[in-house]
Amino acid sequence: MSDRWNITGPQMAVAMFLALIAAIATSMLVARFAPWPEAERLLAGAVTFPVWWMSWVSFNLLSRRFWLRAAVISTVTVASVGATVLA
Amino acid sequence: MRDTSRRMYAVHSALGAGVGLVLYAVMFTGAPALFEHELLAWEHPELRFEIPDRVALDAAVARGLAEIPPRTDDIFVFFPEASRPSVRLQWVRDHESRWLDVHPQTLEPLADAQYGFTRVWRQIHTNALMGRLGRYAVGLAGLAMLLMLVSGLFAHRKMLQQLFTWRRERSFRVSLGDLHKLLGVWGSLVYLMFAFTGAILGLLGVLTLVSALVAYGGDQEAAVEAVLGPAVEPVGVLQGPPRLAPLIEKASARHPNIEWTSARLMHWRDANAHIELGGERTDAIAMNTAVRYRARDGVQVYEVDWVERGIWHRLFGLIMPLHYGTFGGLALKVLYAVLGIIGSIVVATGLILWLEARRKRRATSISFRRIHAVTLGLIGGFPLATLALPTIDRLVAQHSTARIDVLITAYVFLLLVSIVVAFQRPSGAALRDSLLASGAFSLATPVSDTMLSGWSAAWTPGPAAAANVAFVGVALLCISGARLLPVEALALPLRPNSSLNTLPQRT
Repeated sequence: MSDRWNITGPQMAVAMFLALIAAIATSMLVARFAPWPEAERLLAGAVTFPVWWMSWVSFNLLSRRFWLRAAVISTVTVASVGATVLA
Repeated sequence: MRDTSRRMYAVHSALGAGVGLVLYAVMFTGAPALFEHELLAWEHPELRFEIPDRVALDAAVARGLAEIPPRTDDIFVFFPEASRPSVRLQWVRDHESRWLDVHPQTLEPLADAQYGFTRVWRQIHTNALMGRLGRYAVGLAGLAMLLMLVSGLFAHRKMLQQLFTWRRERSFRVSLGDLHKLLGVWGSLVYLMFAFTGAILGLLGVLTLVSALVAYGGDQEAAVEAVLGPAVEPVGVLQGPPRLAPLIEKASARHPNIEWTSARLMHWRDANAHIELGGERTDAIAMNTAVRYRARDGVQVYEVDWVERGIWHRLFGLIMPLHYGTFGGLALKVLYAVLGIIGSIVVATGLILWLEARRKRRATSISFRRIHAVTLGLIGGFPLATLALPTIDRLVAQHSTARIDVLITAYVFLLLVSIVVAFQRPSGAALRDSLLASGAFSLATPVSDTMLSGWSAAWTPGPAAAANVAFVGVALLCISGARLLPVEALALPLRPNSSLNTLPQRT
């Protein structure tokens, strides 16, 4: 079934892994830059994590342009981590 | 739209085949693990007594502290409650949690306890018996469950219709598919909550570490202080055991809406000892409130209130009570357990549907027959191993010094037996037999308790008697479930020259 609709096992694994890293990076952005006190930002990063993961994995799996979207996610992830570390 | 729906179906199906059995194990064991506290008296017969009218808390704590190993400075004290009427002192030694129960009136230390079967249930649910790495793996399975639920809901476009459709008169596959969708759609909101909160709880170690370091700009000390509270430094001057009663009185006056249930004694032998009281709010759903006092003068130095400190504290404080159903009493826990079992039926029916879609096409393939046997073996094996554990604990493990190891070995052994039986009988008969055996073990649970504890201890109204009644109910459910199973429908066609097939080919 997965071949027929152009989602292979490796694609699933890549999408889920990239979404995991991207979600951690997004949570880091929230924990670093959101407009709340530190303790609130800390928890906001943790609580919103599944939302980011679902958003990224859906973004990757919902399109036929799988690898293009995977590249976009990777770039955003690197940029997010860079911005968080440098800030 | 149709394309999206089919793509979501592909995601749902592939993901289910990949992590379905893990989710089944986690969901199935999660249901009985909810009753860890309620089953304490059944698990530890020395705790079968009522909370006395007069509880000598400070005296009981002092008695317990005299018994614990030297140089144990960080101790949790749990106050008596209906399911555990003792004063419990708990500490960590060599990375393992240990405890001592003290009678709150006679001050007698009760038998030095070891973890029992509920610990195994809980460990399978939280870390699949694999420690910290297992906890992360279960957290990732929670994320996968989230995606499976969302993709499943998007894949089925006639959701409203599916809420009321179960075509039992049609073929096995159609009927099972309807049941899978019906149960899945009705419970979807609750399962989304289980998956969302479970993913956060499983990955909490990583998430809070990363978030804390980032939020505090890399200041590790500030981050640790934000999560765990300020560090307490001993001054090296010895003092006697701290007194809890005055602090509880003080805390109750300040927070009348909190029921204090525990205390953490930090460097309790030292002049700079601190005591952190923990309690449940009675006016809101939230994690435990913690208030820390300096023991020598009762000055409050720290407070964590998950309701008053902002929206993200409030949301974070909801995660544990929502996941474990600790905010609505026993009735809510029973409802959670029923929903958890139904959730595991949704996963099991999904797995069987996946097998069913390939049964005719791949029935002669050895690899498919192995997958078929392992899947059916584990679907039947988890109820069997889970429900066999209390009886094994009472008859065998409780008398062993390695109680938890015996129980884990028995659990894994029963899973393997169930898989072997499924290899021998490639049909629903193996599943039916596992369910019947689960029912028999569940029925044996109150019998073994009555034999070893005596009629009065087993059936005098209280938590242990309630557990015995519940085990009888679960046994009847298992036996009824086994009788309803379509045994023939799950049979694999015969392979030529195979001695494995004991049932005739389905027509």
